[in-house]
Amino acid sequence: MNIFAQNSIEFTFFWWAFIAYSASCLLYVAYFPISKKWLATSASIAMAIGLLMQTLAMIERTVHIHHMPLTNMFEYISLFAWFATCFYFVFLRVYKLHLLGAVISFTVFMLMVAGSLLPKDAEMQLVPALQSYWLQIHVSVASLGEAAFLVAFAANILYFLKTGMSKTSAFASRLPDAQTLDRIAYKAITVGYPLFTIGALFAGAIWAEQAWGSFWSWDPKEVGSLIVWLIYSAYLHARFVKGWTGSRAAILSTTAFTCTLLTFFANLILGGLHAYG
Amino acid sequence: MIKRFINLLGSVQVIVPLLIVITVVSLAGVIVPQSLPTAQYLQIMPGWRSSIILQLGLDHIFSTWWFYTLLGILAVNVVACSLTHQVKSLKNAGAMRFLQKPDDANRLKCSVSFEVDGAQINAVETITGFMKRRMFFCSNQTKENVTQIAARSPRLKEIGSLMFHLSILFFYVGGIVSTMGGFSYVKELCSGDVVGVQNWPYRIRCDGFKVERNQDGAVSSYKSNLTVLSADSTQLLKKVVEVNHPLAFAGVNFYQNSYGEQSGSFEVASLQVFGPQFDTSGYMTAASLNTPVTLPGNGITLTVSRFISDFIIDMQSGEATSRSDRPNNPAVKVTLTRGADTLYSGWAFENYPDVHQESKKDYKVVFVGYEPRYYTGIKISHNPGNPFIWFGFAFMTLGIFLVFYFPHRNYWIFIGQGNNRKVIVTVGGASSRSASAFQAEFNHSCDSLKRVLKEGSSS
Repeated sequence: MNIFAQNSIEFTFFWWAFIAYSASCLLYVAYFPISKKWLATSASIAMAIGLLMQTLAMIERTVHIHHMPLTNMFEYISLFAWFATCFYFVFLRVYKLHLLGAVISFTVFMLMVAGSLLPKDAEMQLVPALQSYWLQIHVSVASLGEAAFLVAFAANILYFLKTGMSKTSAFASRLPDAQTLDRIAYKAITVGYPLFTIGALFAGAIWAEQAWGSFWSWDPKEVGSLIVWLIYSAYLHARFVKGWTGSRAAILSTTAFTCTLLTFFANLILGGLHAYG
Repeated sequence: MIKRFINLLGSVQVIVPLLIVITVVSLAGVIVPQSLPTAQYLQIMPGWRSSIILQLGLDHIFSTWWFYTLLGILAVNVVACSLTHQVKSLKNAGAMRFLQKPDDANRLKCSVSFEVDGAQINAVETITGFMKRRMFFCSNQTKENVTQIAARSPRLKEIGSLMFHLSILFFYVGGIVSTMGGFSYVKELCSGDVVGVQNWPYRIRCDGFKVERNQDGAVSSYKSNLTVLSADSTQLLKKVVEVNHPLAFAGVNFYQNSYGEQSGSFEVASLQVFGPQFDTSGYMTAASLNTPVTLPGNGITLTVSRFISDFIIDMQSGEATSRSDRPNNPAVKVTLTRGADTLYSGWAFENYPDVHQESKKDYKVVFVGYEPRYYTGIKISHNPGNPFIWFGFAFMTLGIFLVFYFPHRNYWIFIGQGNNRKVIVTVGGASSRSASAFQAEFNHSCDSLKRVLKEGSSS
């Protein structure tokens, strides 16, 4: 099948981004056992190309449909992957930890795979409920928060690898100490938690009040977001009050991110007020 | 026993298990379909599973007494923790602490010692002024000719934590107040309808409703023209209400909720009439309900006397009724008359143009289509708890930012008089941020401090 057959500039950019992210993922897979700097650098370059291509695809789609592409699962997943890639570069610059980038790169690749399987129809006409500036605020800030959670998840995965491997293992020795990984996860959550609270819960509730006349409707996606928020709240509370760090904190944070992903796809399975596409 | 229970309610240890229980229950509410008819649960999950779901109220978890109780316990716990631990921690955080000796400051991860020219007393004043300008609270003590300045940043983190916890109480109170003192329901209005709202001294009138579609036929918007009327029918406010743009007046909000076709009515029907005086393509005309239309030639009058959106006929009584409100089988009762003579009378079906037509000899009427007459679904809400919810949003947002982005910073500065009119300064710093993150700020502060002290000594 010719993947460029859709004869659209946007999809050409999308598939080039897909290829670039795939290349980055493969380079990082090679980087895991072979600690060669050029592999990591090449993977970062591939991520940068992917980000550029995806940015162009999103701009092209925005121009085509005359509004920000945030209304169906394909568009939302693209935005999530885009923010996650942006965070990849931010955390790479701050911590200079390519192995963290490797886990983020793999997750971005999986998101792109999921996106590529979803219907990509562009809705020119927004349904009346979505004709609000709250759409941009709610979706983009929530997605930004979730992308930060993804970074925490990546740090937690590395934490489990670090603590689960023998100290003499060559791979474990390439990872920073467990405390640093725990700290990275915490930092990412301190970025994601305010964004998620304001974007997913507050902006969503304020918009719901304006559109439907009630802040909260116990819709599956709302409840899912509340569960995610409660688990991250429990994580922060346990950390501040009980001093939870290390494995217990990592387990709680990983559970929260798993719930984030389940909530992300909840409307596809359970329907509800968020079932727009 | 009661005291232990009260202590438990206010315990910090309870909050995490409580959050986990609420999470699990909420998860059950997502997995189990909510608010379906009982028969549907029995059909989907026959046997003991549906019994458990119905007995425990898992079919409407979020409105069960025990779910409200869980939320209530959470609110009580949060308030109790806020009033005990949070306030206590705020008080403790406000207390100024001193170190024992300069070596204690040197042992901190962020520390520095340096010498500057000048007198000890001047240096103490300069440093105190410097720290106060940076919004630090300062206190000093002198032991063995060495003055120690303890400086701490405002305890915004603790204030933020308190605000965050109290915001949950605002949400809870807001929810209770709205549930107890508010109302919310959907009213279907047709153009011209005037309705009252319970205990509200005004009435609302629907002046019209419009569905707008784009070129592809997709609905782009639907709007209601609403007017608020006083008791003596004076117009107080007019507004076009659409989704995302409600009408708010005197504590009651009107939201564009839904719309639908009015059963038994339409705006205008398109009909094609065939008869001896028309050519083979017939004569196209438009008619409203119960409004006679005169056709050209020979004084024939067409009247549509009934409209049924989902036509069905009772075979026994022969009575025509509508099976539903949906336009599944639209039909109109049409009569053609000339003077006192009825030339044609029968049902014409939009979906089945030839049905019932063969029996009418000279005339035939085809129901081509119709423009529906819509009703508008307006959600009428009064939520007196909303101000609490808004306070909750503001408190929690501010609280989160204070907790995460305004860490504690403490400085301990020892100032001793050295030889040759030199002042020995030892600075130690600690923060709730990581040492690496605080180090940059500490270095910058110390560099500025050195510069200020040098400027002070030279002047």
